[in-house]
Amino acid sequence: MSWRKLKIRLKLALLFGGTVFAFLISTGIISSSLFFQNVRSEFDRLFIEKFNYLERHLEWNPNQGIYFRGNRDVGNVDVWKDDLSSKIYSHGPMEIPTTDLNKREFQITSSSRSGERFRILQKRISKFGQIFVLRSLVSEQRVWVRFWQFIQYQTIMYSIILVVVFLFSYFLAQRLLSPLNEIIRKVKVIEGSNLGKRLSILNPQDEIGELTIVLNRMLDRIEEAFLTLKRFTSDAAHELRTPLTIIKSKAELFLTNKDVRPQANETIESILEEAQHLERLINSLLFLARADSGRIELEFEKIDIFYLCQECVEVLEVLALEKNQELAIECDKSIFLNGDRTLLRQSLFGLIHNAIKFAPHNSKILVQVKRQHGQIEISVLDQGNVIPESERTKIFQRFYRADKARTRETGGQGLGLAIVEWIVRAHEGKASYVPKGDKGNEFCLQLPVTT
Amino acid sequence: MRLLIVEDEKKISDSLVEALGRSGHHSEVIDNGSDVEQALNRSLYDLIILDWMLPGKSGVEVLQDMRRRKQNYPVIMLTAKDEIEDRVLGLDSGADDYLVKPFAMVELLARVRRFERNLTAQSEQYFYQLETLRIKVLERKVFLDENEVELTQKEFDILHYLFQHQGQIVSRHMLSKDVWKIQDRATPLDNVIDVHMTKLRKKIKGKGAEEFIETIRGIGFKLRTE
Repeated sequence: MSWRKLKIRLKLALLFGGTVFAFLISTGIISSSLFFQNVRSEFDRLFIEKFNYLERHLEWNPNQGIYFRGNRDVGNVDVWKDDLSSKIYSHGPMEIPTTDLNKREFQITSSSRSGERFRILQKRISKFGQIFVLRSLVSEQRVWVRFWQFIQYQTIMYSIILVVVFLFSYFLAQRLLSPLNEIIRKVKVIEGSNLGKRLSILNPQDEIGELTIVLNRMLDRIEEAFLTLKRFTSDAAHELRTPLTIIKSKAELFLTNKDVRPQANETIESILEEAQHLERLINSLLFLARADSGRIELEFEKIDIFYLCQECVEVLEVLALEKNQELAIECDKSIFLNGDRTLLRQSLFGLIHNAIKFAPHNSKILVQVKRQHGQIEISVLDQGNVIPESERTKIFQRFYRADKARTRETGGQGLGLAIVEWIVRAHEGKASYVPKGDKGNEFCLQLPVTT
Repeated sequence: MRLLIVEDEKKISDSLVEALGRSGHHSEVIDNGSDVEQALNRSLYDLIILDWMLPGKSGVEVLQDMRRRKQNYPVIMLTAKDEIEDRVLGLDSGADDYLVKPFAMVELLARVRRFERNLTAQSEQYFYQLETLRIKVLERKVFLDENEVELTQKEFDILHYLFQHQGQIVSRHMLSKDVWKIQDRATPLDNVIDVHMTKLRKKIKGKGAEEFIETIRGIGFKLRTE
């Protein structure tokens, strides 16, 4: 999982924990090195003391040369000639490595062999009338053992501290961020008709308080924009319809005036017809604008679907007859649906009307109602030309028109199916188009049976 | 009839005055809501045509004030709004009728005539005749030159409606509202009405005589007078 995707509380805890970890590491390094120096200087002090004892207890006789005679354990000892050309005496089980051997007056160094650490002290001594180099080697293992112990204790302690700090900061972050979760929960609730609600501010000074204030301000603006849109559709309705009323009434008065030249009539008549077009377009646009701003409230009632179909078919039958089309209903009686009667009739009416308009003469149009999977499917099937595949996804979009050249003459505006789609969606249903072979279309309204 | 028109858009009120004047009505115009009370105190009216959006006082407020003062003038409300909530509010405030802009002038005249009929208490007619065309309303029978003409139910209803409005233009919207009983304007019946009208015309065509039903393009239809 990447860092960006982590939740803020985890990030905060990790950041804080990381900082504490870095701090602990650095203090750990400092304190352990101080500890080590301390322990070793103590060790060296004892070592020097021992060395002094060794020095005091060196003897000499002409036969043996220099030798140690004392009862304390002074570790491994050796004595070198002043020019370091040869070793003249050695004592103890181990041979002292010669890597650091030199002519210095005094030197204390470290060495290790097969995992064990040693301390070597070397001193130039003038005694028994000659100058020689005395060396002693002792194990400093116990210094390191104590040092590693110290590191161990420290690591355990620091780990505990780190875990505690991490958990603490995680829960602290969670606690501090909990108002955010509250905000998320509340903002989810504020929608559409709930826009008047605001978030409560706990502490206006802190960041979350500021966020809440900013969010509230944004909600103010959204609500205002929403209300403006609402006012706009109402104003637009007024602004568009008033001049249209004037055009229509003036034209009507002109036409019904008896002493008008007949040549002028035709002009006025086409003005009136265009005004009619415009009126219908405005009505459709305002319907969609109101629908978009959530201001069309559905009036639910129990609808007899068979009766609804029959009603539409009875009205439209006459148009089908004109084109010698057969218009039939296939629907069981007593299928009921809860819905807005006016809006559903408008959709079904529109679909059947379209089918009659676009299907060829002497064809068959079927209004079919099925109950399936707890849904009611109202389909209008015709034998007209199939809508090309590239256009299918667009048919329920606004201002879509299948045949651009024909629309003026058939009076479409490309809003009918968009309105049908909205109405069905408002009923929590789905409007769809299915082509039937080469020749045949099915427009289907799937509506849930709500109780 | 004496009418009071309350409408702030002068071009609309001018048209209304002219159209109503041609039908023999006398009307006065007020262009704001606040002066209505004064006008009503000054003179008597048979009908008030009231616009919804008015400067001063809105149409609904004017109406509510009038009803509070127990002034029971019949009121036709005009509005550019058509939302359901508005309709309810308008009718609740005591409007007797309702017209949504842009309305057809012929429709307004038809509504005005309905109030006029109420005034003169004209009874429903059961028999109409125009030259050789006769209809008997109760029996739903139509005769042309003494021969009975077979009409479908809708065709008869249309013809009856035209006789009721004889000499006046009837708009398609009026037909869909009154004959088909479809209120909402989102369901356009224009094509349906035209087809029925064509069939009806064919059936009642007199021999060589003038057409009984005239088409006024862009407005509607008219059953001519003798």
